[in-house]
Amino acid sequence: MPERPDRMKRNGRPEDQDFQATEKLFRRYTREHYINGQFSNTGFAFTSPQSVNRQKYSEPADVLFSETDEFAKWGVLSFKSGDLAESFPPDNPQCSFFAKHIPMEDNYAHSEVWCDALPATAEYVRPNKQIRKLFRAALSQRIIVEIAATV
Amino acid sequence: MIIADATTDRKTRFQSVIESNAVGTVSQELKTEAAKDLENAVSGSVFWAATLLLAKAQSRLSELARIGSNWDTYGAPAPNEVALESAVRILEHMNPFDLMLASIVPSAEGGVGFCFSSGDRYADIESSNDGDIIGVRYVGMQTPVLIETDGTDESIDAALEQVRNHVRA
Repeated sequence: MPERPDRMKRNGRPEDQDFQATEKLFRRYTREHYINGQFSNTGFAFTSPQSVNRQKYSEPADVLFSETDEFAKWGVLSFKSGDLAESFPPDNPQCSFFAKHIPMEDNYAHSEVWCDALPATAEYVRPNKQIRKLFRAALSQRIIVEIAATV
Repeated sequence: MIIADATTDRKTRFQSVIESNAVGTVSQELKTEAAKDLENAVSGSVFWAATLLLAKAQSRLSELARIGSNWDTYGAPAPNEVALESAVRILEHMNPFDLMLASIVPSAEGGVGFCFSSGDRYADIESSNDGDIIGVRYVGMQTPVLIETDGTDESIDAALEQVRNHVRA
C-alpha cells in the first residue's frame, strides 16, 4: 500500500487564505474530456464548490494519491488562482470566482473554487446556467496538463 | 441487383462469423476477412458510413446511461433520463458531418455533452439534467460565445448549424 506523503498531512497547520495569482490549483481528469488537444468545459462543474489542491502545499501527483491506487492512470491538470475571475462576466459582472483553502486532515492542500454574488454574501452562490457555461469555457481555455492521463 | 446480392452475401458472412463459436486460426482468418469485407462495403457507401456513425453515437449514449454518480470522483451526477432524452433529440438533428466530429461525454454538471474540436476551434452542445440545452463556441483564447436554445427542434437545428459553421470555418 502506498504511503501518504507527509506534506499531505495537516498536522495542526492552520487555514491559509493567501492565494497568489500565479499559484496553481490541481485537479485530476481522464482522457475523455481532453478532445483533440483541448480540454472540454464539460469536465468542469460550478453548481457547487469544486475541489482542487493548491500548489503552495502540494505536488500535482498528490491529487492522484490513493491507498488503493485507483487514480494510477488518471491525469492532472492545473489552472492558476488568477484565472478565477474576480468579476464575471466581464461585460456585465454578476459574480466573483475565487479559491478558498479548506484543509482536510489527510490533505492539507485541499481547497475549493467558490462563487459569490456581487456584492458578496459570504455564501456559495450558484451562478446561472449562462454564466456557468461561459466561465467553464473560459477556465478550460486556460488549463495546463501537468500529468497526462492514460485512461 | 448484383451489388445488392454482394452486399447481402457479405452481411451474411459477417453475421455467420460473428455468431460462430469456432475457435483457432481458421476462425480468426474468417473474422479478419469478414471485417475487411465490411470495411470495404462501408467505405464505399455514404449511407452505411452514416448508419455506422449513428449506431456508434447511440451506443455511446447507452454507455452514458449506465454510468453511476461520482464518475469523475469529484461528486459529478450521472446523466439522468431528462438529459439522455434531450441527447437523443440532439442526435436526431445531427448529420454525418456532426456525427463524425462529435465526442459524446458525460457532463460534470450532470448531463451529456456533444463536443466538437478542430484545430484551435472548439464548440459543444450540452443537455443537462435540468432539461436545459446550452452550448458554447470559441477559437483559441478568444472570448467564448454562448449557443442558446429554447429546447425546440428549430433551436436545436440552429445551434447545430452554429457549431458546424464554427468548426468548419
